[in-house]
Amino acid sequence: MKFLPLIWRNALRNRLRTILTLAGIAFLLFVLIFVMTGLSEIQAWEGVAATHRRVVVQHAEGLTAELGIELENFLKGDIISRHAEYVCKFNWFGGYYQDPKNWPPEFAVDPPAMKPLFDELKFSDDTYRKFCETKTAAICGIALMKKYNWKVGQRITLIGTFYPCNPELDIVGEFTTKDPRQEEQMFFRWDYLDELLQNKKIVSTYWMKARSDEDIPRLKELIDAHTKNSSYPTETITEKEFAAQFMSMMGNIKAIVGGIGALVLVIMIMMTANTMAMAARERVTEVAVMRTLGFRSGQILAIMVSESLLVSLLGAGIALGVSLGVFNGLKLSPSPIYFPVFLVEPKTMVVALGAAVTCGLVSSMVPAVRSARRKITDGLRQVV
Amino acid sequence: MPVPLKYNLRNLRVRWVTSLLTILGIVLVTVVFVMMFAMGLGIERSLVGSGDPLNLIALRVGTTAESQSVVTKEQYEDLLGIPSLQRDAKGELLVSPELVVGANVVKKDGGKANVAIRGVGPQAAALRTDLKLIEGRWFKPALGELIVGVGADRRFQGLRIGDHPRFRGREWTIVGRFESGGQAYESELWGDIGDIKAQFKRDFSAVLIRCASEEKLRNLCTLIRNDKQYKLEAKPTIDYYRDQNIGGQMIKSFGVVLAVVLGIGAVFGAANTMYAAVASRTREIATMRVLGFTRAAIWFSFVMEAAFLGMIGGALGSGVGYLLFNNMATGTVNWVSFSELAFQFRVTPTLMAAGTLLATLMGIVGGYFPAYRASRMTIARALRGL
Repeated sequence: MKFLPLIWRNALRNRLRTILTLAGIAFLLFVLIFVMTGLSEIQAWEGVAATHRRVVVQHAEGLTAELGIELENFLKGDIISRHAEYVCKFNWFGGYYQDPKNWPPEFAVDPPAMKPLFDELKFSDDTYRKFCETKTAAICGIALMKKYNWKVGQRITLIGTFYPCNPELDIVGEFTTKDPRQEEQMFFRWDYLDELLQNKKIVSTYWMKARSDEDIPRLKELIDAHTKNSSYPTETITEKEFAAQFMSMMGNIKAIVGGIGALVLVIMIMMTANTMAMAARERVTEVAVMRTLGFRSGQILAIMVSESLLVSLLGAGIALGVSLGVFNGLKLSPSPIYFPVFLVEPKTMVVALGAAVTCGLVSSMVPAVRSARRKITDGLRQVV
Repeated sequence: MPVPLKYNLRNLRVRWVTSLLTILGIVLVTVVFVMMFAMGLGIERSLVGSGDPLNLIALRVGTTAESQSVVTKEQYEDLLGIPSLQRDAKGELLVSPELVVGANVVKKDGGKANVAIRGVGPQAAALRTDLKLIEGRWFKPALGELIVGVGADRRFQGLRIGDHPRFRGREWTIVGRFESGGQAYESELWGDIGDIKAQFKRDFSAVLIRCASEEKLRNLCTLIRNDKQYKLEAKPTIDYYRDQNIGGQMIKSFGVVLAVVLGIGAVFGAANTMYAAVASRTREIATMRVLGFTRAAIWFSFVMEAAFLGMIGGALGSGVGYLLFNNMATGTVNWVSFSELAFQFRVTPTLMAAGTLLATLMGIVGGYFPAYRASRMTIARALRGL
């Protein structure tokens, strides 16, 4: 620690070089934080999904196939109700508001089941009462309300793309919740959607809550066995698995992001190694003098490694500061349609710091070891 | 007189460790750029290439994908009544009613994805000039037979000839395998329209119409769109498929952003290298000035040296990108239809040239200020300095 001023002086000796390295590291780490945040945003639902014991019944052939309305009676019947409660019809509507670019997540549900099932969404009793009383009612997350400047009581029209109808909805209230992503959602009534679709009774999924973790495998078994030979065989999965299937659809994004992350780290290391090698070359004589004065080679090594560590960490500090300010502070998103929010997670920050530390250590290793090992006499003799 | 280029090349060689580290950094940035763009181009080719300038598609008003569209039997028959439709040699109308549905199938690399299943009329193949059966035979109606595209066969399990997948409570038989010049159709299963309609209980999703010329196609589009009788949207298939290329566009723009930001990072590295190169050659530069080389010549010489650094890195990076990624087969979701789209990474000569150019540019930007410093040196002081 007492060498900190020395390390600092060393880093500042060639100011331009240090600034360039620092800026390079900051830029590269910013890329790392950016791609990782993109990935964590895509995966965010899986994280939320794991905490609620919610179970989804979908057609075994996937979301493009529909389930029968008869299934509802079975799910609400005695056999299933021992293991689960709050059966809710749940259709993703997939319409847009005014412009195809405005594509909020909209779901058609049964209000009485939806309220306890999604108990992380907080809305007033009055809102709930109106949601149950008004067939055309819709409730919206506060972030969504703000985004389109909607007011409670306003009537809005969604244009259906997936379903051939355009529901006119009365916003009866708004809800808040801990996860900012969920505050971008809206819910309206399944029976209203059904009415617009000429009572065809289209149910894309049923959602319910398992009574305990042990009930989940029982539910999967019971429901899927019951429907096995019907015209709509089902696949009963947890909410987490439901979310994960969308990730799987996109292909191997994890590998791409991982690959980019690794490349960023390698580029960073090479750049810093280059800087440190230059610094070491300049200081050959100086290091020999220090050794003569009594510095041990271990200390020389530590001083050099600390220098690159210092520069890397400063770069990480800049990158983190900028990305936290831009994404978490100013709430800017690279693509508001696909990423309504774009928040840097603590996990990402840890990875960025880890990358900086790795870069600092690895890049200075070779030059530092070489400096520390060089014979004093050789060092003194060398003309730089 | 300019400073000979050989001088710069030799310098890069003399300082080979530094040069190598800088070049490697540029190589990696170029590889990332080439990879992202090759992916975007692959998706683009698969989707945009599926359009045919002579084919028109009629859909439900307001939909962007066949999988969401509904065309009733009556609407289809109304379309058949249009007098100017083109006929083939046998006198049959060149019109194909089609139904696109989907079903989840287990992928070869694990997980499930939605494979598009297309029910087609007898004229479907006549409307797709690139379509070619490469194994087995064409499906027969009413027997639950399907043919599989090479892309779907590559991505999914259990879709080989002779396999019996189950969709919507019926066992189907795969009897043939087709290719279609890398188009999106290769990601699909095809069967008889009657079979698919019966089992999936749907109306048609779209009607494809072949026209004699692009002008006739445009006229027919206007006719269908404006005539209230049809209540349908009609557009050239070229436009239809181009609008589906959301994924390709997204990946390409992401690739550009990524390459630029990574590139800026690498530029700092290159600048560092060039500043060091200038600093260690102070006396040399002064000597060259004494010999009569102008400031401009020296500036140019150092910029060229940095450009070389970038160009070598870029060429290597493009080459590595080509070897690693060209024709690599993979798949992603078609963001409009939500079904699996098989595609191959495409590292084109243009892309490789663009990668090299981008890297050269990175070198030039990185070398600009160091070269300026070199050209501004005071001869006397530089000669004296150690």
